[in-house]
Amino acid sequence: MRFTSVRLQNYRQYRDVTLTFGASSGVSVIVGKTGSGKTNLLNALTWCLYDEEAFGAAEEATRASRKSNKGMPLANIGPLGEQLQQGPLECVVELGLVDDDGRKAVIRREAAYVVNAEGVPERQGGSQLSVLRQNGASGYDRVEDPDHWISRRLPKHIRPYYMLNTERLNQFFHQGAESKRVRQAILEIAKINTLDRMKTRLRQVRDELLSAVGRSDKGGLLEGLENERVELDHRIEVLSSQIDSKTLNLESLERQMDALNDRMGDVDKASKAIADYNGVRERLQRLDEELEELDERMYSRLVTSAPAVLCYGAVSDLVLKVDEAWKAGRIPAPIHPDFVQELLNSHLCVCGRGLEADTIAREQVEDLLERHREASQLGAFLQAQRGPAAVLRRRAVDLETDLEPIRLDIRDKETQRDGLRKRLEVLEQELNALGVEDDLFQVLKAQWDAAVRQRDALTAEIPRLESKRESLQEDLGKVRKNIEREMKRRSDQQEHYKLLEFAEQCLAAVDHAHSELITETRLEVSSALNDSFLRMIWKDQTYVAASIDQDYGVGVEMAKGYDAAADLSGGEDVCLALSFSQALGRVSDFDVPLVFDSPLVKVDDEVKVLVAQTMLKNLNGRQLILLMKPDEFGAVESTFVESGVSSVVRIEFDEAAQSTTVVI
Amino acid sequence: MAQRDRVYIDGERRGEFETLARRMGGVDNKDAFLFAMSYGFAHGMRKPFRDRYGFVLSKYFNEEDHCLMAAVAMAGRDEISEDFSMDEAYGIAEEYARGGIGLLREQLADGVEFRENLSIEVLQTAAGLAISERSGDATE
Repeated sequence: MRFTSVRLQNYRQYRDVTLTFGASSGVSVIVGKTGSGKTNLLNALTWCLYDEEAFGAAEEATRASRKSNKGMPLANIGPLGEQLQQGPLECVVELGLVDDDGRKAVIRREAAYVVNAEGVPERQGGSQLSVLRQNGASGYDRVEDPDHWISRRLPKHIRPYYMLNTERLNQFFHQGAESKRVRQAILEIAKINTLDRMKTRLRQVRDELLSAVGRSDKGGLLEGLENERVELDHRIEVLSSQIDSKTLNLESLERQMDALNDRMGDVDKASKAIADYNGVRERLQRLDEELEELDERMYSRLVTSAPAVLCYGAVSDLVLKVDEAWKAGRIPAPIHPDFVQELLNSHLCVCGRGLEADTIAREQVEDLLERHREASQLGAFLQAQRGPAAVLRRRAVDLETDLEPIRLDIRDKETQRDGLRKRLEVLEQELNALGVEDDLFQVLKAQWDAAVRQRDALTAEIPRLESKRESLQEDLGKVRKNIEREMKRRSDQQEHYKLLEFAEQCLAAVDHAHSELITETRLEVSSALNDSFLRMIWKDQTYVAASIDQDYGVGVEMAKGYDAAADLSGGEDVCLALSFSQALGRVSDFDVPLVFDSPLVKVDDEVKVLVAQTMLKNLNGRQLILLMKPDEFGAVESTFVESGVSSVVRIEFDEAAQSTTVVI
Repeated sequence: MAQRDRVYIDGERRGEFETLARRMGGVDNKDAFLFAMSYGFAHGMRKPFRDRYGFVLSKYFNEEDHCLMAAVAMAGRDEISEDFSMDEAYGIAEEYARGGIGLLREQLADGVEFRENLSIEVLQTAAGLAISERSGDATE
């Protein structure tokens, strides 16, 4: 890459200046007095590229200036004050260059300034960066990401080593974080950043994989599922074993029953015959009981009537005799006792006064009356026998008739009983034919009944167990699906582990390559540094080597063996810085122009030529832009001329116009 | 017309009367007594006894029972006379019962079909009565 020109508009003391850099020898010299704007030219370049002025006044002064100007370090306010009062002022720096592929490009950064209400100018918003890149013959295209485009070609990390202001160098390699910047510069020039990015990406991949692996671990879910599956398997196995056992039992039972059936003949038929037989026998037993009851009724009736039957003749005679005695008057009619008493007291008296007491006559009369009264009582008794006698006679005569319904009932039931007995005989014959009476049959029958009960129990239990097993198998199916899912997840996890392992291996390889490359680059840069430094330095008896150690510290080894980097003089320090920059340039794949401000100011005149020669010798085709004071340039002008350097531009600060101009 | 308050059996035959009551199907003393009396009367067996044992209280006899005993007592006479009394009838009934139980003694022995024999005898007698009754009715 080569810078071809830089145009500055309203930048510091530059009103509108364009500087072109010679292309013939690759070395351009811009000569100007102190305050002419050399360092601000360098600042214009860094502002254009990185939006910062790297070489302002001293750090503190720069900060103070920025503070007082309220963020206006750039614009050349003094001479543009009136213009600012009229409206916004555009500050622009345009850097023209030729890319490594030979295409031209323009980097443009601009910022607007206004005067605020207090009359103080301030920047309006941020700066705008744009890159236009030549697109064949048709013109220029706008680059979409100009910052990225610049960082790929002119990494900011190496800016301190290709844009140097030697006037402001002070223990350049011994500042706080210098070794880190040295390392960063070496990394950049070796394009090790690519490896760094690979490492970063690989680390990201690894972290993502680690995260994925972490997500895949469901806290022992698989182990839980496996345990559940094993338990379900076990339970199903137990159930299956039970079912098999019971099925075998059932089969065995059925075989036993077949065998029993063979031995018993037709058991169902026999059982039916037995049931019929028992039914008939029960009915017969009931009939016997009913007959017995009827017999009891008949006997009771008979016993009750027996006296009437046996004495029937006497009873009949009694009635006849009573009738005859009554008719013959042998039975007196009943006399009322009051009538007898009245008769004794009043009517049984010849003289009308009645019979006297204690007389024979009266005793005879009273005796007569007494016998008559007893006779009349007997008569009454006998007369009263007609009714009971009739009942007795009827009972005796009607006994047959009374017993007849019972007899009929008995006959009917006896007929039934006979029929049942015959039926019972037939059934007994059938049972005998079937061998039911046989003791062996009874034993077999008992076994059969027990087997039927057992079979019924088993046939009821087996479906229940099968249903339970089906339920468990459903559960097992679900668990197995879960396990499959988990196994797949584990498989993915294994894949992740493999990828992770691969990423780790890649990372290690890249790390190793990175380490080797950076070490190699460091050693190359160190060697180039040593070469340049020893050429520049005139104390070849004092300083024997310059190097970059493994901690990226830049050191200068003295003949006595200790590091003198911290003790270098200002000029020696400049030599070391320039040597480092050129070493980076020699080793670097980046074709970055070197821009040195006042490179020889701190160096004695005797040494200036030596340093200039070394610089020119070590260019290796790189562009070198030197911003030099007139006396500085004068000391080495002949050396430059001898080396073919023809591009020399002189600038001056016009105090009247308060701006820098180019002197042709 | 005086009347005793109970009837007596031969004390020596008391067990047989109890057996008779049992074999008659568990009847009470009164029915056993009347049956024994009827049986003795039917077979003309009247036998006096000395060992008197009160067997049935008079109050348990109903009109038909009195009528039966009166008929048995009158049966030995040609006609009714004024000197007839129920005490006399009780005494005659007791003697026929004594005679009857004597006849039934063998029947009551174990192994004898008392019930069947009794049934046959009574039923045959009753059948005869029925026949004569029907023929008597027809004659009238």
